[in-house]
Amino acid sequence: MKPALKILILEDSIIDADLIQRLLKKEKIHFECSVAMDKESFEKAFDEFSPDVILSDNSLPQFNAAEALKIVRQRSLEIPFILVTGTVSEEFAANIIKSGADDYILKDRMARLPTAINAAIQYRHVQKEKQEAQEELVQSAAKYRALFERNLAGVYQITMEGHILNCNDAFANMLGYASCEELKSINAFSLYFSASERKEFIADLENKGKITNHDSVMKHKTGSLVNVLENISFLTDTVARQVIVEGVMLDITERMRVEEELRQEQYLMQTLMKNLPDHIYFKDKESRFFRISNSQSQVFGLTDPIEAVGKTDFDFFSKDYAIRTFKDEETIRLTGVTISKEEAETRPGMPVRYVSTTKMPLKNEAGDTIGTFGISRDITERKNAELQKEFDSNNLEALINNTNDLMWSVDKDLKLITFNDSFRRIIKLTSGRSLVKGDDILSTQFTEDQLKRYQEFYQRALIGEVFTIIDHFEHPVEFWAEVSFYPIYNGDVLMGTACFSHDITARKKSEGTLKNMAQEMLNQQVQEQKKITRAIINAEERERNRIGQELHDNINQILAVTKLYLSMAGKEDSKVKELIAYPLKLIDNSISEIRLLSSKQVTPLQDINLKEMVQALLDRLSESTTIKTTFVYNVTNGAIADDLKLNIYRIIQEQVNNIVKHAASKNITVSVQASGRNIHINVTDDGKGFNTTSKRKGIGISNMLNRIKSFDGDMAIESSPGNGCAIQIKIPY
Amino acid sequence: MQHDDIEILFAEDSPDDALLTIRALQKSGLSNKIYHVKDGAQALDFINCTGDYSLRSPAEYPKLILLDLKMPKVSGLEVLEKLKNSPLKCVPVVILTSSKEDPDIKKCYELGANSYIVKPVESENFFQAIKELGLYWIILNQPSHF
Repeated sequence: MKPALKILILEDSIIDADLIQRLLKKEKIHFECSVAMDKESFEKAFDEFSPDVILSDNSLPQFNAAEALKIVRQRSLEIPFILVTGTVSEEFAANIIKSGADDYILKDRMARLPTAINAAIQYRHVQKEKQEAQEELVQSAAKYRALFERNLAGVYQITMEGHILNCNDAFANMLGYASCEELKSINAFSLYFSASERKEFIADLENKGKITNHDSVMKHKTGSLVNVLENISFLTDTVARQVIVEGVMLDITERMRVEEELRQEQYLMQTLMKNLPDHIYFKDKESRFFRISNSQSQVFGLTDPIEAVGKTDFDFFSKDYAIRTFKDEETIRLTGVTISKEEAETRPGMPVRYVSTTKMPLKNEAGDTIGTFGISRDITERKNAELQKEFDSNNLEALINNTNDLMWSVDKDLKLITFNDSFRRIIKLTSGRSLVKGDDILSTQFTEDQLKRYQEFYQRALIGEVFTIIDHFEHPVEFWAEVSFYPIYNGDVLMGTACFSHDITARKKSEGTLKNMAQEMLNQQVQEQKKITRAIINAEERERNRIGQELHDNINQILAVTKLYLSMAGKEDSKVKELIAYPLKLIDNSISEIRLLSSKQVTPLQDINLKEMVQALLDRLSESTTIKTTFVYNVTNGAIADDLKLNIYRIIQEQVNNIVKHAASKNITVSVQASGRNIHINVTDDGKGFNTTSKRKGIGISNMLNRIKSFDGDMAIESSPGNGCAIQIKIPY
Repeated sequence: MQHDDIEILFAEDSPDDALLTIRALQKSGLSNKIYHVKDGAQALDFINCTGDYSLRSPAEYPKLILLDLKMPKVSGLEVLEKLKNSPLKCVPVVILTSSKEDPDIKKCYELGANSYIVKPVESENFFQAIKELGLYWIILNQPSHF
């Protein structure tokens, strides 16, 4: 049911008010009613009752319809106001209608009232709708304006000839202009870079009525180009009665540039994934691969990396390894840490691969972890080489430590760099010290002498010299060692020296024995030789004696008998005597010569008096020459054996002969003196002398030497040209 | 054919010329196969697989090279000269020049360039040059596009 129509009646006559109500009831109008009789109650009712329609009498005691209408219209334009009056002039009626009343009804023609009320309500309703529509229109125009002006996209309206009718700031700014005003003098078509393209799309527009997402290139005010995307459509302006073109334009220059950069980045990324020898993978939150590099797919034995998508380490690796990596990845996902390590990748039926790997969390733009990714490098070759090296170095260490040779190295400050077990053991044994690296090497030497020698060795070694020495220790046991020093270089820089000591005690000792044996054999040989020499000398001596004796005893006797017979022949005949005088003299001379000769040759072989013999030798020299001689003899009688005496005599005789033959000297001094266990024989002259270095040993001197050597003596000759000669002989007895 | 193969290496420093050329190429349906470098040094790096492109496989080479003559660092002429002494010497080269009267065009032909296009490059201009070269089938492996 429709709500009751609220009617406010302004009427001072109760009868008239009642009459109106009855009339309305009769017309079956569903209503409720409020009656006001003066201004005060009218205003109150208007505010509180909020009537839908007002019926007003013209004149009340202190109020009237015109005033009431004024009040109503001040507050609402929509409520119908109908004047219900007794009599009224045409002029008054016209005025009140003009003032905003909807109608007037004469009280004697009340039958028209319901119709009038309905008409008034209807009218007011229409009025209200009209007003609302207008308001809406204004609002929508404002909205459109805002949309137009505040749009980020450029919006423009142009004529078919290209005159710009309107555009927003976005459009103007897009092309480098400050505002629409600045653009209006420019033909829109000239803003397009390509005239042919522009013609093409205008023709297209005419055919289709609208174009969407058209790619155009526009000219910026600065001359550079702007790539845009535009939607264009026709719009009919009914007011101006012309067809206009409306367009919405987006600047996609930056977007294109970014897309291009993205493409390049993708290309580089693809190149990386395709060609990098290191393995790269990306895994999701469940540790499933979603992208792997080609190198990784090769390791997995896949023809295409795409085949790995959705798979996990469990599909490729041994279970143990896959469990380990899964745990790693869980840690990374939960804590965000980066894991870097070297690990052994094990795959069923495949050799172990070693990799150096870095695993990191994979995050999206919001920073949430969406998986993990990693990069790993195959280091199998390096690792195997390392293992081999370790094996080798272990072996080498065993080799070094099992040898009895001592090995140690020292740096330039003579600090121990390293040493082997033998060295450690020997030092411990000899000095009681437990060595550590960095100890001073010289603290391991234990005698003053050794310290000095080794200081010198290290000094030589630390200037790069390579050498070997033989070292001899006597403490705690006799010990011989062959010690070699080799410089240690790091590149070209001398770092220290490496020392190797090899025990040669055994060799040295056997060498010593051999040497002694050889020496002994040599000594025996020498002694033998000496005996032979002395035997020869003695034989010679005896032979000389025999010859001397022969000359003296036989030849002289024959000569003496010959002389006797000749003398006897001379006694008979003086002529013969004269004739044989000269041969007799020759025979005398011969006898005398032979006597002299035999006395020189003949020496007694026993009970020799050396002093007398030498004195006689020197006396004979003084008799036959002008040479003055001095003789000193100071030896206890019987101290010297006869054969030595004879030899000393022969030596002196030889040298005196030499002097007489070669030296042309005036004085000769001979001394024979015993001192300690030696006999000293000196023969000095003041003759011409000679150069001792020039090789002019005659048979005389070598005879002398043979004699001396056979008695284990030695001889020194001091001489120089012009300074005479001094021979000093020392013979033990 | 793999999706990451580069069909056209495009060397151009001017962003405007690059925009027009890339647009012209896109209209030929080649948008995903252009690789744009911004100077001669980058072009040489790409060709020689050095610098940023040290991981690029030398076995993959573009089917066409578009070379701007005036570029910073290394000029197009120099790039062309080095290119023709590289494994990529068989790749056709189209020179981009701002003037028909450019004396360098002659030099480019001497160095082995296949053609030239006068800038600004509009699609028709580009199409014409490509047609003249008969390079359609070289560039477009998939004839169904035409």
